[in-house]
Formats: sequence, C-alpha cells, structure tokens
Amino acid sequence: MSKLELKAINKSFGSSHIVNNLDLQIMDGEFLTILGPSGCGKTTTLRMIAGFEMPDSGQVLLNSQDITNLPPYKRNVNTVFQNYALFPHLNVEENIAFGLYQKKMSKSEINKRVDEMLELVQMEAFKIRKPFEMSGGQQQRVAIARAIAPDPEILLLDEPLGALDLKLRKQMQFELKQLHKDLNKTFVYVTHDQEEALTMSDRIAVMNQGIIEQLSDSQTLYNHPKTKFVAGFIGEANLIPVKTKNRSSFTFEDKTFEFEHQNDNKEAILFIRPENVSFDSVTNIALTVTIEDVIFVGNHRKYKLVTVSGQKIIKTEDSSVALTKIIGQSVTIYLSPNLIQIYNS
Amino acid sequence: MEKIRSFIVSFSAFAVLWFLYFPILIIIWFSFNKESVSSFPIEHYSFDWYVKLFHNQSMMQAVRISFFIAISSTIAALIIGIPSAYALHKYNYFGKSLLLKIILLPITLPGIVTGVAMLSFFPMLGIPLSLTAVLIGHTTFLIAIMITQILARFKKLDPYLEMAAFDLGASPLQAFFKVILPNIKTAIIGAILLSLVLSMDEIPVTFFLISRENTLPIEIYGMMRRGITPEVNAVATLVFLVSSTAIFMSLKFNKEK
Repeated sequence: MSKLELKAINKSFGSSHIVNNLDLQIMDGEFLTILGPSGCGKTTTLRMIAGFEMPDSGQVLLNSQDITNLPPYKRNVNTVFQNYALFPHLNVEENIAFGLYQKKMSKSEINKRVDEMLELVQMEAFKIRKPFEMSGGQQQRVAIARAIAPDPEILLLDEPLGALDLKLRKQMQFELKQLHKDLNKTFVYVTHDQEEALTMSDRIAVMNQGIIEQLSDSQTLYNHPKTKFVAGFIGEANLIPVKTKNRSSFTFEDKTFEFEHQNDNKEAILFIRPENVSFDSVTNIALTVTIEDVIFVGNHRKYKLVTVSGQKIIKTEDSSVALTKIIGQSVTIYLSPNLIQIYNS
Repeated sequence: MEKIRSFIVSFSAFAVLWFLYFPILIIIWFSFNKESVSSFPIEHYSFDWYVKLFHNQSMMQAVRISFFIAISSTIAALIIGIPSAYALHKYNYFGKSLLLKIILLPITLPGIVTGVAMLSFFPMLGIPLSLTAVLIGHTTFLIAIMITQILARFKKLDPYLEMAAFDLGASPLQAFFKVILPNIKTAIIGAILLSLVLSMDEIPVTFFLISRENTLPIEIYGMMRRGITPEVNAVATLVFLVSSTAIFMSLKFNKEK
C-alpha cells in the first residue's frame, strides 16, 4: 500500500504552470527523491505534501486519507528546511521540543524524547547551545532531530545539504541514508544534485517542467533513461542527432543501421553513455571517427572523438587499460544496441 | 594629505554637533544656577529650581498628562501597529503600496497640517477639543512609527521560521506568539521607547487639539511667554535626560537582530 499518493496535481503561480497533472505514489518506508533542475516544480510538490501550498486541482492522500486541504499544522508530516530554519530564540533542546509541546506530550516524555533525538544525531553536547553558536552542519543535525522528534508519518527534506561544503555533504548523505535505515520511515527528499539522488534513494522521480519524466531506481535511471531530458540530466551522455525513416532503423551520416525503436519522427536523438562507446568490434553499429584529444582523468581516461560531419562523441575507458591510440588517429567505434536508446528530438 | 582630510571631516562634524548641542549644555548648566537671572558668571550652584519645579502644581499636572497621553497613545499604536505591520509584511493585496504611503503620511506631512486638519475634522465626528482628541492625534502618527519600525524587522525575519512553526504543529496564532513575537521583541521595545519620546515632545498636533489641560511641552511653551525662568531650564534638563536615554535605548534595541 502506498504511504502517500499525489493524484493529478496541478499548481500554477500566475501564468506559469509549475506542476502539471502530477501523479506520484510513495511507498511506506521508502527513500524517494524528487530530482530536477531549479524551477522544475520539485519544491512546490514538496510544499504541497507539507501543506504550505494548496494544489489548484488534484488530491494528496496520506494513508489513503485525503489531506489535500489540511493546513500544515494538522498534517503529520515534518520538514527539514534547506536553511535549517531553527528558531533563533530557542536553544537546541527547546527547538527539538517545540513539536512535542504542540503534541501536548508530558514534560517527562518530552525530556526523554529530546534526549533520544540528541543521541540519534550525536548532538548531546550541544543541548543548551543557541542556533547561532553552531556551525551549518551542526544546525542541520538539530533541524533533522527537530523534524523527526514528533514521529511524523513522512519526513520531507528540502535540499537539506545544499548549504554545506562538499566533504560534509558526503558525510551527511551517508548519515541520512543510515538514519533512514534505522528509523524505517518514509523519506521524501528534494534535490537538484544527481549524485546525492543516486547515492541515497530507493527510487528517484526526475522532474522537468512540472512533470515526472521518469520514476525508477538509480540503476534503471542511469542505464535506461526513458527520455532525452533524463538521459542528459543524469550523468554524462552522448546525445547524437540521427534520422529515422521507420521503427526498425536509423541513419547517421548516410549510413543506415538496423535498430528497433519507438520513434516515429524523422529527426531523432541517439543516446549512449561515454563508457559504453567501444573500440572493440561488438556490434555492426560502427562509426569512423578521428581522435581529437585524450585526457587523463585519474581513474579513467576520456577520448574526444569527432565524426566526418563534425559530430563530437565522448568515450571513456578505465585508465588501467593500456593506451594504444594517438591523437589524430582514425578509429572505428562500436555502439552496442542494448546500450543505446533513440528519443524524439 | 589623508590626515588633513580626516581632520577637516572630524572637525566639521564636531563643529556641527557643538552648534546643535551647545545651547542644551548651557541650559543644563543654568538649571543649577541659584540666581533667577540666567547670566554668567554663575556664583552659586543649587538644586533650588528643581525643588521649585516639583512644587509647581500646574507643571506636575502637565507632566502627568503628558505621561498619560504618551503611554495610552503608544499602547493604542501598538495594538493597531503590530497586526498592521504583520499584514503588510505577509500579504500582497491590491493597493498595498498606496496604503503604506498613506500610513506614513502623518510623519511626512508637517505636524501643523495634520493638526489643522484634525482641528476641523474631529468636531465633525463629535469629538470635542480635549485630551481624547490629543490622544487620537498622537496615535495616528505613532502608528506610522510602529509600522515602519516593526515592518523593517519583519523584512529581516527568515520567512521559513513561521513555516517551520506550522510544520511542527503550531496554528497561525501559536506560531505568532511562540516564534514571531519573540523574534521581533526588541524591535517592538525600540518602537515603544521611540513612540513615548515622540509623544512627550509633540507640539504642533497637540497645540491644535488641546483644550484647557496642557501637556508638558505646551506648558513649557506657556511659561516661556512669561519669560525664561531657571525653572524652565530645570524641566528642559529633565526632559533632555529622559528623552535621550529612551532614544539611546531604542536605537540599541533596533540594532539587535
């Protein structure tokens, strides 16, 4: 059964349609990430789950109950905000206790729960500090503790690591993932950082211009992107314009290759990851290219290739493989049919 | 060169301040003069005029009236000002910027214009020239003070704080009292102090709306017409001390984040 369900949600601000007929089912206990560029509607979607925004149409169901029009203070979901939003006039303990007081818990229960939370985020020593006396990372831990303390049905995280430096961000990614495992709670995470999404999530919903382009686990998303947008947004990709006459072949630079695809337009885009471009003769989809440059990037090396018509293609390979090609050399590359996709352009 | 320039700047700044505040220093000095004629050299110093001041019945009455007007108009301005500032900050509605300008009008318009306008308008409403009229008059411009001071603080306040309060189960009213109010507290205290001082010092509006009972500045003004007595120096010294303390504290509170 799904924990949270968004049904045909629409939301506009003025003339811009931010969220467009969005459907999304979030499973109980899963770590779901909404990933997309800024302005794609991901934060608005999160805010509609939290209750800060009301959808123009559609429904929000929590445990199958309609909460579409409930204000945020009547929803059993809590948010970790990007800028932490800790109450500056309260210390760490009072910040964490805020939601517990609102739930009318007894003083002794509150104390117990606050201590539990402080232990969970390893901030016991900071109990009586004020927010401005702590670093960004420490504030973020307190913000997480404050949001978890009232035991919400769902924890919403709005780019919570956005303001932290790279090293701390990596560490917090790991800790959040661990926290999710320990708490067995439903997490809905919003970010524009694909790496963050890929490392932490059970499933990722890639959003663009108000719609979910693809909803799947990290591996599927990376290896089998459903749309041109997803292919270009996640990881590195070669997106090569090709022509199609029918659904069983495509043409590139006067050469026609047999390949089954779903595209009916004449113009199409061929997708292949740089690491899947091969020098070995693994398929009959072969292109002749010239090596423009070879760049050593630590654990891998990157070839900049160019075709006769000037189309640039990137190939990467493990740097442990012996380098046998030289710049300026003409070579043949092979694109394995099960690693390429063809999209509408 | 740099030194000369900075010397000229600080010298002119001090010269201006001296020009502005020297008369006040003189008044403070004269207030301790035992003689009734304000002239140098002062031969005997005393607190006589302060003692006399505290025995001056009409002066003491004026002080009480001024305090009453200042406190009650400040309270009225507070009650109207805080929700207004909150609404102006939080909601966008048609005519908002115009409304803001109208609210600010009483402090931008010369007091005499507001005074004359109220003088002719209040009787039409059935409000006679009285302390009630003065109280309403003061409240109108104190509202402007309250709103500008508090609105400035609202603008600095992180909007996510209120959202976080809602998120953790606080209703809008609870969020206001538990999260917003504590974070604008110092701005409110600052605005209160500033309002009290402005009301205590106010002449133009009061002048048109007063009937028989005088506020402190009007009473002093009346005394001056009978000639400057050292008693005026004494009262001026006290008013200066109280006002400058309040203004100093108000600035301090408003600077706080």
